[in-house]
Amino acid sequence: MEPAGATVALQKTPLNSVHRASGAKMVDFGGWDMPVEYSGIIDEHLAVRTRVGLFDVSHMGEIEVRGQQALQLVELVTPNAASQLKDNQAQYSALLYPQGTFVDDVLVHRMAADHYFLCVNASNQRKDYEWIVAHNQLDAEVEYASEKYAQLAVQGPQALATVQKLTSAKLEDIRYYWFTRGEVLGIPSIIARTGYTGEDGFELYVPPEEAERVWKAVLEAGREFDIRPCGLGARNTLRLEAKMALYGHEIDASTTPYEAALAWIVKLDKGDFIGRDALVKQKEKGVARKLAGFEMRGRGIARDGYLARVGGEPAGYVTSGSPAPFLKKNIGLCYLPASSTSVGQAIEIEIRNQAVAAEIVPTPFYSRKR
Amino acid sequence: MWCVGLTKFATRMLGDLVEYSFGVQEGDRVEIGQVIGWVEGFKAVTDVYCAVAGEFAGVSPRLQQDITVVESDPYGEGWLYQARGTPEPHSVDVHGYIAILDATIDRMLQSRHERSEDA
Repeated sequence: MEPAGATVALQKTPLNSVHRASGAKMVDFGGWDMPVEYSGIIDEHLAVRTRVGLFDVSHMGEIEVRGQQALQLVELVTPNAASQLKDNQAQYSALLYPQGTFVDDVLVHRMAADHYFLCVNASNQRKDYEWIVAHNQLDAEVEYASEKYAQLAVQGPQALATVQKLTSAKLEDIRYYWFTRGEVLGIPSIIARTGYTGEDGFELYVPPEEAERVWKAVLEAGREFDIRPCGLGARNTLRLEAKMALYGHEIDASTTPYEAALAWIVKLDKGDFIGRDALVKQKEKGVARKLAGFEMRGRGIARDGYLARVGGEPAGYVTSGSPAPFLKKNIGLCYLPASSTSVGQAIEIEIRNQAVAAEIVPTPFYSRKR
Repeated sequence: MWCVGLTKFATRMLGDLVEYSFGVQEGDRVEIGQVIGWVEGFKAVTDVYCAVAGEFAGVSPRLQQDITVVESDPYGEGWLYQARGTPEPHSVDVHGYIAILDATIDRMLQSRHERSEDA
């Protein structure tokens, strides 16, 4: 038996000691000991919007699917059209329950016609792996590969110039949501032009034992751009400004892609997939509630879980809310009755027992100029 | 007259400060432990308790201009409010507080050490 007061040891990324030695503020993030901030969320957020920032996202999980029937299995468990991917192309997608709600959201990478690489959320990786294995009626090979990869995200307008110093791969030739397999510092890596910040950037998948070397080299390469090491706090505010969904907030086992304004990842015409029947029905009927973005008009910051009112009546709840450091506004996402999600709709957020005025606005709140 | 603010440790825990509000006004009677307002960090809100029994003497005018002074100069210009009267009898100065933090951390390390010996 566990002694009283004993806690389960937190999981650590290969960069844990680097974060601690650098004085990062650490938190328990879904069972992982992760840096929430280095120099401060606002400072890190602005660095990514205007220059470049570096994130340790090695807690993210990786699952690889191989074999002649790999595509068939991926097509069965995800709603987006994996068959449309070319080699070295990535796609935002999901794993869904039969009722059309989220097991997780995932990035599907096509390594080869018979090899797919899925990047999944840290806290869901075991569940995702078991879900895929349970539906592998085919004879595809499913590998839990999280221990084989550390993942570093280099994000911001100067991300390309920073990473380019460390690789001979021609980064400007990699389009957004494509990737290449090359070398970073001579280390075999997956170099993907993807991210979770709304900014240009790269996600580097490297062997765990090389993570520290790559981390330090990226910081050195980015020094001329005043690069910042960043924590999960800034990652959250950056993704919120760009209106990217976060599992456990905008999406979970009770929400569907249609409700979460992610209809574009559902390809009903691609053939059968888990969740399709429920989504066909929901599409016919129309969704009762929908995710919408709002800006605070009154003074106050909406926080996750706060009540949203329309015409004084309880109507929904905030899934994510925060000050937006680049936009210098207080913003949030909330579920509301679909009829109350038009831009310009006046709503109220209940903040410390006071109704504070807010308004539905167009999203994403922020999108970069391309 | 007492100037009350946050320790550097507290500001580090709260993260970037973004908002604040006080529910009492200059001249109001206040009690020790009374919730007199709140400060909002980037990630979280915390109540502000009154550390003095007596009369509230106002919120720092600097906060209105730039609340980040609370982090950049916690023991100087970055105070939150003033009050006249008797301070909380158990309150300590900065050096006393550092000693408390050290003792707390020592205790945590000690109990962890004992637990690992039990295992």
